[in-house]
Amino acid sequence: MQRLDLLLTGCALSLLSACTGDLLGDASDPAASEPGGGGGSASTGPIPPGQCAAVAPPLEARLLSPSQYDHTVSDLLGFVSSEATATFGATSSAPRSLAELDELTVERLAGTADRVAVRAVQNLATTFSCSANATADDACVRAWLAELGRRAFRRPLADLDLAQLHALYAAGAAEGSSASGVEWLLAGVLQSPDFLYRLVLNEPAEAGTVVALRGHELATRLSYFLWDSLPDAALFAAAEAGSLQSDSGLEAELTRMLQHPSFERSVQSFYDEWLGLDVFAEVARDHADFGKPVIDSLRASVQATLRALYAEPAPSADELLGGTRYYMDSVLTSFYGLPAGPPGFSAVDLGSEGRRGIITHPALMTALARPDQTYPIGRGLFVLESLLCQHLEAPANLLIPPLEPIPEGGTERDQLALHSQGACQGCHARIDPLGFAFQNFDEVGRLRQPALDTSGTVANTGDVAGAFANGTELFERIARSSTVRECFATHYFEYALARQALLEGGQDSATNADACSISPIRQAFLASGDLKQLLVTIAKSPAFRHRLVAGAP
Amino acid sequence: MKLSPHRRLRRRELLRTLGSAALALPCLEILAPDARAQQAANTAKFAIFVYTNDGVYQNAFWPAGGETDFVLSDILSPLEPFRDKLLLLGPQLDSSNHPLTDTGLTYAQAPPQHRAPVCLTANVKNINLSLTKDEAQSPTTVNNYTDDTSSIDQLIAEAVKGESQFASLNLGMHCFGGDTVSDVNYLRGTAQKRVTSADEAWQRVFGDLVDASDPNATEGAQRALRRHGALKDFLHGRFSALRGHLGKADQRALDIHLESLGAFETRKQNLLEAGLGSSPGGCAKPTRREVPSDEEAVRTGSDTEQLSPLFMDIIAAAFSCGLSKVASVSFGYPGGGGEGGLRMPWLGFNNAQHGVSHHNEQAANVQKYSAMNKWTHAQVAYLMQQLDAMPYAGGSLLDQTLIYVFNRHGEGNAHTNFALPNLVLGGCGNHFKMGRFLKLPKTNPTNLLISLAHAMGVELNEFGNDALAAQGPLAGLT
Repeated sequence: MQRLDLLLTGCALSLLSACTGDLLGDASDPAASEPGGGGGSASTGPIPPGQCAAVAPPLEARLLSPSQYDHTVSDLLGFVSSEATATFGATSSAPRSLAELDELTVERLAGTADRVAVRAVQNLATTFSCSANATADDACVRAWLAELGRRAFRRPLADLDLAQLHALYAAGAAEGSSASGVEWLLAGVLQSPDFLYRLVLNEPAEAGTVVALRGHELATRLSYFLWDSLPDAALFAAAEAGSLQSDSGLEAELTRMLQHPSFERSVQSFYDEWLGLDVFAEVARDHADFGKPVIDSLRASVQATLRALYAEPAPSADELLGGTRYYMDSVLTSFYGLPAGPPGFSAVDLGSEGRRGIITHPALMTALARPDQTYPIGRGLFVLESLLCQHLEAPANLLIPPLEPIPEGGTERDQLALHSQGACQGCHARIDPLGFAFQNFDEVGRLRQPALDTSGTVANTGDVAGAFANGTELFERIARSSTVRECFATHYFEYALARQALLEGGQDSATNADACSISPIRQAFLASGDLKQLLVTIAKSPAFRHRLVAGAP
Repeated sequence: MKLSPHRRLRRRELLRTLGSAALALPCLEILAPDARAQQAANTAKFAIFVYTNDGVYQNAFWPAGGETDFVLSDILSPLEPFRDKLLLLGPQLDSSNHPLTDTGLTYAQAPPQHRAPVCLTANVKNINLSLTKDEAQSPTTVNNYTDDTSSIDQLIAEAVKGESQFASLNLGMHCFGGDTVSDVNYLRGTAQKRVTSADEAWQRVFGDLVDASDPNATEGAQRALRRHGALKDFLHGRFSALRGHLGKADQRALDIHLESLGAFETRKQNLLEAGLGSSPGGCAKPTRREVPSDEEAVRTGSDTEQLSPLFMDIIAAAFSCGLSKVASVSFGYPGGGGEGGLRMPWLGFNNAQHGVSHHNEQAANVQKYSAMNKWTHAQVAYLMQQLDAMPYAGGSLLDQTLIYVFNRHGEGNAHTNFALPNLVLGGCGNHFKMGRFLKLPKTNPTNLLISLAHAMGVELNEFGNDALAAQGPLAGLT
């Protein structure tokens, strides 16, 4: 979700020569700017829907995210853990990729596992189901190890797996007690690649073929998609019984999973990623009253908004993108100068401020700003990438001058006008107007008064294109837009699969493998606008249920 | 690619590595005379690379006076006690003591938007600042550099590491919130992560050192060693159990993981064993200064006031204990504006440094910017003070340490690339002729990087690929 954002930020905000023509393609050519497939009609490849499964790519290993790690530990051991978020929570220190598993990250993973293991021993009665005097070879201990291992690794265990778990436990227990056995075992299990990665193991004979995910593989994919954690007993049981392989069996589990309290975890996780709200942990503003209470309440406000929305049987995209109710507590009503409401969070209608949908939520307006001013480029790029699935290709070897200061008595718009001239226009003509639409919300999300000019023109963006007289007109267009909804469905699809969608178009199944899965997903979402049903159609899609067995090294 | 199990050492890199003073390898005998000459006297044993953000207020930064009778500016005044250990590589100045355009250390033309990656790599060509999410998740993605670029500090660290436990201690204050994926320390294309919390930094370096006179601590350390061995057996067992069941990409990822794990395990074992027997270098755990770590202190940046000196204490003690020979410290995140860099509320204002650096010559901002510049240099002076207090080889650690303070900009307001406020400090093992303020014409900092390697006894005569294709050390420093 952030390519150009990485470049177009800081104090240097414009793209010079390289941002015109060559790398962006012709701005008048809609196809050139739709690698994510967001615009216009759904792109369909040459693969007939019936054969969709035959073109699935490999399901590559993914490291658990910090929140997945913590939720998995919580469900595995029965106490709430936030150790991984505490260690890796800062966005810049979380390992973004497997390639970043350097020595320091390995050390951090070891420290995280050690701390969880110590806590598990403090909660031994919850964690360990055998007697404190049980020896390593007691049947109870062996059964406990087998169950813990199966859940931690999210798959049936082989004899070798069991033997290794047993050996580690026995070595720890030999130091004195079952408590030290549990402590050593958990420190090992939580550093094991079987736990840290969502891994799918191959049978060598299958290499090169596309296969349906086996029961426990599909169960694990579903649980990380919808619960941000490991499968529960019922889901494992359904996997073992083979009932996930049928449409009706899968639908039954999906219905149950969407009603489960853990569903809220994945909703939070998706929106944090889609809206980029994970940066909120580090937000700081020069504004004197913008302290921890306001920041905590802003985060909680987003959660309350999503909780209320997803409490509906069929939460609607209309409400998500076009609603005018925002959840505020006394900290926020006071900070934003609104009438006090009842205790706790309650809905306040902010339509009269020109706000529409979650995209003008004060938390997002704050996240997309600078310590001391708004950030139209960041806001424009958010609309382009997160709402319109437009990906601006970053030119190589940029020479980007810093912004001139805001002119005396002027605004960020004047600042960018000075800046976005000549060769820079290639990118800025597309980014800046989208950002200016939000100019009435300042760097801490307050309504600016008097109102600023928020008009502009959107170029080359499906059914959002055209001039708008003010921001609210654009927000309402976004709320109704099919382009935006198709893009939203694509983002959720990518979240579910934990990889980028393969929608390059054309005949090459390797780069267009998801086209035939995503086309019906988008169509169904456009027709219903039902945010929960969207997840069901994604989970039932061929891309979600199949994989190519990758060749051995 | 980082951490590859099949590292390809280019011939040039091999020569650099073998040129190290610290590697007592038999094949040193076959090196060219000039490489061996570097091992003779007059090389420093320790190096610290201090990154500062957002330039300095140029109009009040440079000393007045001449090469040896210079008078330090207010911003630089904290360094006065060490004036005989300063090598100030300044620009040419006008009659108001303001720098002349395109004089002094000057980065090559047309660098990428944020110059930070270039600071220590001198590689302006192969930067990849725009990783997509998917690229970043790919097991085969390199970070930032599309080739195997290493920064000078990491090359030096690898070359001089010897028996020390940490090739390079990388620390940083508030290293988050930037908006370019950008850094200054690279090893074979990959940015080196930094430790940013007081607890983690302390635990990492001194956590496993026990007081050998305490019998309980010794018993605990012996148990920790047994636990370490059992965990190691288990984890290596897991990695081998999976082998043969993974696709190519997954196996590659796990190979990288396993190599990092092996390095961590070896170091952990060494530290545990060192804790049991004679402490490395005969050193004791230093006293730990308190650093506030509550969320509010971190959010407002008030923790930095204590975090910075703690990091300096850790570096000095780690050098003294023989745990490391190279360190880097970053004041803020090198990756652009974002959350705005360091805040220094103890100076009486809460603005983030980035906004202040774009001061537009407004008096209030200039005053804040200069105050932040001065505080940063006071921290460097504190570091020198700690090193100076530690005896080493008949003198002090400071005598044998090279400190390079560097910045991605000259002046923050306009992101200038000349008059870089980069300083060479410390005794530097008598390699450089110190106690001087030079007013340089336009000078490629790449030559200076080569000089720094030479000062550490690491032979290399070409480095980087910037437009000036720098070769050889900077003249006039030794």
